[in-house]
Amino acid sequence: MSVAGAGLASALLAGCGHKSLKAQVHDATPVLHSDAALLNHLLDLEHWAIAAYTAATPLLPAATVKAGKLFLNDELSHAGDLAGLVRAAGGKPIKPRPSYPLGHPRGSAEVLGVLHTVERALITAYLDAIPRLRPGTVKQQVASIFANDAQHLAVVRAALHEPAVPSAFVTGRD
Amino acid sequence: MDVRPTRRQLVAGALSAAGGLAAAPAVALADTGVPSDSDALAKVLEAERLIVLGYRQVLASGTLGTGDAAVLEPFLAQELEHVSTVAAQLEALGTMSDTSPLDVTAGNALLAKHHVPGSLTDLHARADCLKLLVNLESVAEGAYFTALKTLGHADLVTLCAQAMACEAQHWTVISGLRNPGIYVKSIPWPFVTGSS
Repeated sequence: MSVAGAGLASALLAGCGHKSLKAQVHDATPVLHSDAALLNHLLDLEHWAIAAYTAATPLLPAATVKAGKLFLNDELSHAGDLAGLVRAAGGKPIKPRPSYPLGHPRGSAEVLGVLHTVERALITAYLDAIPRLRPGTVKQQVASIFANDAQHLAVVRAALHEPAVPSAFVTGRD
Repeated sequence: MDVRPTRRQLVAGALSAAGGLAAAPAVALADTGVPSDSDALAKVLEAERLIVLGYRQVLASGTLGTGDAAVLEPFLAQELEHVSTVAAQLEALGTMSDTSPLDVTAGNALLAKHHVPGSLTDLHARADCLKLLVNLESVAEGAYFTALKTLGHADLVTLCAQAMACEAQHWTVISGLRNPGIYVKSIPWPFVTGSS
């Protein structure tokens, strides 16, 4: 499974078209220039998630297709927000890659498995980044994305017939 | 220019050298009006004790089916884990905290403080129970979200982000019980900030 990331994701981002209210509110947030690379790393992963949901959603079981579309929209919002933070830090937001290796999943369980892998990777990256970011308002903004991705992970896990919330502290290892 | 350290800086340095968890940030922030790590965690603990009471009241209400209870009982256990972990961190910061169960009167007062409608005792239907828990999960999310703005110690930031994400997952699952299959009700926004 693969997707032409740059064209499709860019089109989707353009189609998204608006800047979130949260992004507008936080436009005034000072972001450290030294955090631009870290934020761009998170943006790169969000582009990967956008590509994964774009490719996977049509292959999901019927009952979860709506969730896939919803989560794709969420990831697009996250990417827009992170791009805004990178710009606020004086950096240039990283663009989607031409394509992403998503494997060759067979059947809906393996498709869900790809999404599980992607969401876990996002969780792990956010957890690494959040304590390193400054100031506190940027930590909050990124944590608000992280918690949303944790919600996605819970739904994906439930669709895989695994416990939705396996731990009191979300680590991305489950 | 006088570059001698102030007494406050000397105290902060000594605490830092002694390895006290986040003691130095707490002192350093004292002049700025920013809440100390202890203050921030104390508010988190208050929200966690409230949500523990909420789960206990709901599970004792007799309004839930066995399927709902099977979902919610592990969440109560996770909230209790949050209470003990946050309390342990407060103790490491030199602040003793009360982790005993809240009584209903105190709990209802906290509901009012957090502008949560309803009551911890008027739980006569499944819908009342699930609505209360969703609202309490929002309060817990908000408590962690607020703490993240000011916490100084990196380990505490990570801990609070992890617990906030867990509350967000609870929120999603309970909302799913209320609205099966309607994912937009379970995850209505791409950002989680909770309620204050």
